[in-house]
Amino acid sequence: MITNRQILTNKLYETLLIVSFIPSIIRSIEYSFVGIFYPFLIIAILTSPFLYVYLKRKNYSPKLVKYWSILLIGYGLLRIVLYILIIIKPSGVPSGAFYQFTFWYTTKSVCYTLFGVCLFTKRKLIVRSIFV
Amino acid sequence: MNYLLKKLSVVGLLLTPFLSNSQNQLVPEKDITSMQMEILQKLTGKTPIKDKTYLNQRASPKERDITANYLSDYLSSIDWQLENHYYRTSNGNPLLDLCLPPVQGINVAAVLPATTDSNEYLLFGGHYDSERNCPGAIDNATGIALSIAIAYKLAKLKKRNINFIIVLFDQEEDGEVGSKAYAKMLKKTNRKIHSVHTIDMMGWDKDQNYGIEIELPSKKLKKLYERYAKKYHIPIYSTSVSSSDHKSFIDEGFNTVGISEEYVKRDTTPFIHTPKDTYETINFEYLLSTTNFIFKIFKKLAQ
Repeated sequence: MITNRQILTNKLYETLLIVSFIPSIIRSIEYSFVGIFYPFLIIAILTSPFLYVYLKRKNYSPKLVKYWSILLIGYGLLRIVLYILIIIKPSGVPSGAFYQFTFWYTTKSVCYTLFGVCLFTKRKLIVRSIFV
Repeated sequence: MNYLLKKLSVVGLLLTPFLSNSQNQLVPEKDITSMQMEILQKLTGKTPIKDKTYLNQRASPKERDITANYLSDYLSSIDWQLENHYYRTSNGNPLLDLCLPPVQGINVAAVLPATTDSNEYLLFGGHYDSERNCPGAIDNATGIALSIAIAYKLAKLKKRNINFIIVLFDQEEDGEVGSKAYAKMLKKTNRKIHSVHTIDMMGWDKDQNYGIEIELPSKKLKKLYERYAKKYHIPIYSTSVSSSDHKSFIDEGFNTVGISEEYVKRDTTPFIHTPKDTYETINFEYLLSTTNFIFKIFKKLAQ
């Protein structure tokens, strides 16, 4: 028997999953506006399985959520590694980029990783309910 | 001793055209030098640029913003019409683009309209940003001081048959980001660009020959600059240096020349991109000589 609490928990994790797409989509649109389209292409390819699921009105499989959560963890860790590399060897990094490695950048990187870990551990609880 | 006397006479000879013309000039040369000194002191952190703010470099977004505001105010105060160009673009590396938002900057731009009906524009300027941890006095606060002094003198001309645009570029040190964005934008306008003249590093002249280099000049501009150099006894060398803002305009097909101190000839600041590129290392006599030289070319083109 499914309790109200379970429904609420599912909705929370599903919302987390949907929210996890938003920063990447915003970033790719930002770049599209300045005439650079490869971030949009990359995001479109990476999220295409979810688009397929949405259009076919299917449920998310734990494998699909696992794939996305691993991508998020990888992205968060990549950002942290990049930050560490730039702290160790700042020469050669354009100033425009250098000054964007701020506390806020680090916080966001940690959030990406934690989001990924959270989705990974709860992947079996995520059932499609929103936008069905 | 003989060598010294010979050197002094050569310097005197080189200055003759400028000194002889000083009587009919609209702006006294001492005013130009003090104007350039004031600008350079503020840009290099010798004096505060705003309230109690001293700039030790012009690399961070905040420092570049303060510099852009100062330069915008300055151009407005000498009767130029501001047309600042705000841009957003790539970080120059796909990995950085995946992790960071687009970089943004401000090209400080202003127009001095012709006194007659004209759709022709002569564009000149230089970059105002510096490397990190570098006051950027010669690279390129001198280019800014030179450009603004010329802007001031042009505004005093009673007759101009051509419009002038001054552009002080952002983010040259990051791979000419600002000038690339500006050149692309300019290409899309319907303005007829007569020529583009960019100035990068103009404050070192150890051999005191007042020499300059013109970088990747178009045939027309090479001829023009060499003719004037001959007239005013300025040693001039044409080089194929491509690592500055002029390249952005050449790539877009504009009639362009880059102008600098003797960079290839090695009579250039040894302190480039170091904390030692300070106000104290600037040769103001040389800066004034080059300001006058370039102004005379622009004045001729405006007539």
